[in-house]
Amino acid sequence: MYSLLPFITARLPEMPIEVWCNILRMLDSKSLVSAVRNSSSFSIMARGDPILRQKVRSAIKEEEEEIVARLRRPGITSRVERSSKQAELYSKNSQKKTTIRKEPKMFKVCRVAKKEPSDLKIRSKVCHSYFNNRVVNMYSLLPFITARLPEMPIEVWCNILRMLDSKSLLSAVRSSSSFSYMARGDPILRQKVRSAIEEEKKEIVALLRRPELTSRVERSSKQAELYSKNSQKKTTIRKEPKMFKVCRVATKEPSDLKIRSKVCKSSRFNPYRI
Amino acid sequence: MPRIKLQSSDNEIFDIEVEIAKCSVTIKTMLEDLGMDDEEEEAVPLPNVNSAILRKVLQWATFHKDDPPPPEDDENKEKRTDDISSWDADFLKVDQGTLFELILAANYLDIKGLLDVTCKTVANMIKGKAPEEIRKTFNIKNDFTASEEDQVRKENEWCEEK
Repeated sequence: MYSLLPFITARLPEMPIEVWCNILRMLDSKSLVSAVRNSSSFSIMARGDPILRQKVRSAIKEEEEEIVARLRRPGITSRVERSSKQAELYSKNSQKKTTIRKEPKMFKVCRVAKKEPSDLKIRSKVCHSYFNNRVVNMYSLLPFITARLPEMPIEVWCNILRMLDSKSLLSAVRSSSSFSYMARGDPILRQKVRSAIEEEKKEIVALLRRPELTSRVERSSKQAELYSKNSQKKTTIRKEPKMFKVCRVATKEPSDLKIRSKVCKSSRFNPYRI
Repeated sequence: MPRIKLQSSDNEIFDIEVEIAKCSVTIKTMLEDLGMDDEEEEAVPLPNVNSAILRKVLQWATFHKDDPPPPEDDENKEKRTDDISSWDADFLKVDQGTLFELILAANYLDIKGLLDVTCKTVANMIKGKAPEEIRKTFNIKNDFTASEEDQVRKENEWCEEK
């Protein structure tokens, strides 16, 4: 019966948004969060109104702190302390203290202390998969709080982005898909981003080619004998072999210097591979 | 001095000089189009601006009422963002929500000077920051889809070893 009349159960009474916002502003923070969680329309309104948005945000923070405080209350945890006899059995972990939440799914803190108090090393481990999920689920109800840019017309954002230097613009574009989308749509920004990427590319190549960033290996005469023909071999290797590398081999006589540039693709010469 | 009444979205009335109100191109056009006299009793409704923001906007307009009209922009030229006056900088020391509301109000009321200075403030919040810092500043999360991330990776492919 209700499915035939979806509006009866699905919609809020039709009133101007500002009236609803006015009503929502009258609520205390807890009731506001409940309202927002119960209806997507309330959620949209709260998202659009800065005062409500701020109120919801602080209410969620408060709620989170409350949950954490509740879970950390000593009455809710049980403490296990071992006697000396038991302790012997546990050898190194003789002073082990374990604090476990009664509901193991919710919260657990384990602390392990070593034999000597001077070498006390406390390892704190928080197992809160269930708890974490609760927090994550809580936030997933209000994704707008963390996911979106402040709501403004695209042309205003473009105006702001046009004021940026190319490096900052590139950072902005890499920070959010919305910025990326805006820069793609604006020909001036698009061009600027493109040239910024080119500039960045050149800068990195210049950085990689700086001689002080490379390490040079030169062989002494005794060592050189061992290497026979390659006695004057000079190897220049970039410190981070993944990034950049130049390999040059010179023959014995400097007059007949012939530089062979070699790209070794076998796995044996893996370190010299470009 | 002739005066005019402005009505905010929350029905607060602001009685101000017409000269100050005319800083806003929207209000100026409205007065001209509707043929409203300078000494109009009826308030001009501004449904997109609440009283707190309208008060701030009027404060800015009152301070800048004698300023010359801002010059036309060259679209291709990068605007300077370090030329914000100390009064404006102090005026814009507000929380982010208010700042964005001021931008929206300046955009709606078409007050170029205020829009410029607020946009410059936001631009300064982005300048010189890494992507992660920008996300932190605006409280946004990395929302790139897998395909978009692939695209970025492709852009940077040239400096990775294959």
